[in-house]
Amino acid sequence: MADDVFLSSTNFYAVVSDRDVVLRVFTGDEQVSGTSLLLNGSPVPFDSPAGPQVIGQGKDLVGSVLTVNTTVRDVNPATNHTSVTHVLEGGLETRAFPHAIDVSADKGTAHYLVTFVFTA
Amino acid sequence: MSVRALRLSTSLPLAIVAACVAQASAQTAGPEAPPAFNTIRTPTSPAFTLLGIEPSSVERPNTPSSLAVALLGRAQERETVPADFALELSPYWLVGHPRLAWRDDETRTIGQSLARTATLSVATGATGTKDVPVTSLAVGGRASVFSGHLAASTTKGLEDLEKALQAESALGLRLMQDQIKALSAQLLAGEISAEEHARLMNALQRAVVGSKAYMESAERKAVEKLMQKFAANREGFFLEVAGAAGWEYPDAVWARHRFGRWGAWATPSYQTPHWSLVGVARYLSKADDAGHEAMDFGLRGTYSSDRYALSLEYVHRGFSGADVPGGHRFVGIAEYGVGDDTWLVASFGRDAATQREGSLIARLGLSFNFSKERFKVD
Repeated sequence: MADDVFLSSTNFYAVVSDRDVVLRVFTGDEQVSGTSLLLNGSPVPFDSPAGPQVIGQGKDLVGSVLTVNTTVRDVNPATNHTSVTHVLEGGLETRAFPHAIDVSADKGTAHYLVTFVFTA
Repeated sequence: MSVRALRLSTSLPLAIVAACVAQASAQTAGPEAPPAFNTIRTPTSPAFTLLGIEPSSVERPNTPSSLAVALLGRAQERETVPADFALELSPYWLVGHPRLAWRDDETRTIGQSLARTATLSVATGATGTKDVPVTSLAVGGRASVFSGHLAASTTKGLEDLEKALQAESALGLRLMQDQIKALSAQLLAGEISAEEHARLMNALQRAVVGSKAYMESAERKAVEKLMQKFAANREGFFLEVAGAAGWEYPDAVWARHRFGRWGAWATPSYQTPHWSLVGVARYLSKADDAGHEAMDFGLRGTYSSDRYALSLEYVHRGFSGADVPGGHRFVGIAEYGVGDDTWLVASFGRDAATQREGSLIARLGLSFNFSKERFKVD
């Protein structure tokens, strides 16, 4: 716990009614991570470490809240930087949501808790 | 990520000679005596090595701003050379690389290898005497031209970590599920702003991750267990190169500088899970007090397992001056683990001139590996 650091952000993403919204997760700085999702408070699968993962069709997602929890572990001895970029596709535009935080010690943990509100 | 290198027993902090099975007097330290194999490997910090110092405090900035702070802190000393300054940095890692996944580093081009492994080092230190005070400054660089590929065991370790971290993140969401629903409802109803929502989510996660249910969970413990045994190892062909140059400043005055000496190192090697072949080459423009140029080179082959290691090493030293003969050493070393951190070490061979006392190497000893790293991974 002493080494854990936390980052949270809340964002809005405009969807298109007849297109699937897809999530990708890029973990940078040669670090390692795992991601899990909640859609409107219920678990949804995230099958591979980076995606892509279909969240749902635009018309079904308007007014929904996607919570993305990405836990990063520092395995790169060259740096304590961690960075995670969540990318949403299939909406009005493809948007990247980059975030970064340094762990306080080697092999430390960074928790990224990112919320997306889907709008029309 | 830097080059993996097998180093036989170099990190052992304590060695006790238990018995001598043949003539084994202290080695005669003449200038022709070849240096120990590990001392001529490409150094991690060439500037420190050239000055022959091991700074107790090294500044290692990892952002442009921390680099600026480190340099500006010394900029006020304009007339004199700062004493005991040591700085080491990796330019590539001064900035973040948000799209560089660990899978992108399984193999490297020459350019990628140079960029990701390059380090710069700068050091100052007192190198004169009480009567003739001299402060020296050295600047060095190091990089791997080739740095092999990620070991299969490391790739598997990272994939296992990804699965374990996914389970850990799922645990976090399960423990926060009800509060997340409530906060989402408040956000959608316009009762809290996005900024307020993010702040409350952050506080929620801090509380949950700090809880006993999280920290003592099977999911978190599984990650910790994997992290304990994880090591980022690379295998294949490596070529590390380094260079450093040093200047001397009598009375530490900037204006009275003179060139001191320079050195260059190269370490080609080939690593497999059990076998390694390591070559070393080092040039020093002034290797001794008389100012002789020296060229050292050597070769070591090692076979290692969890329980034992066998190695053969050869080191040659040559001087530019005809008045100083060269020398070489050829030694075989066997190590056997007699406990978790205790190793029986036997070495046999010849050192330097065969006519000199102490040229026969024959030793049997115990070594204790408190660091738990049998072979150092750089």
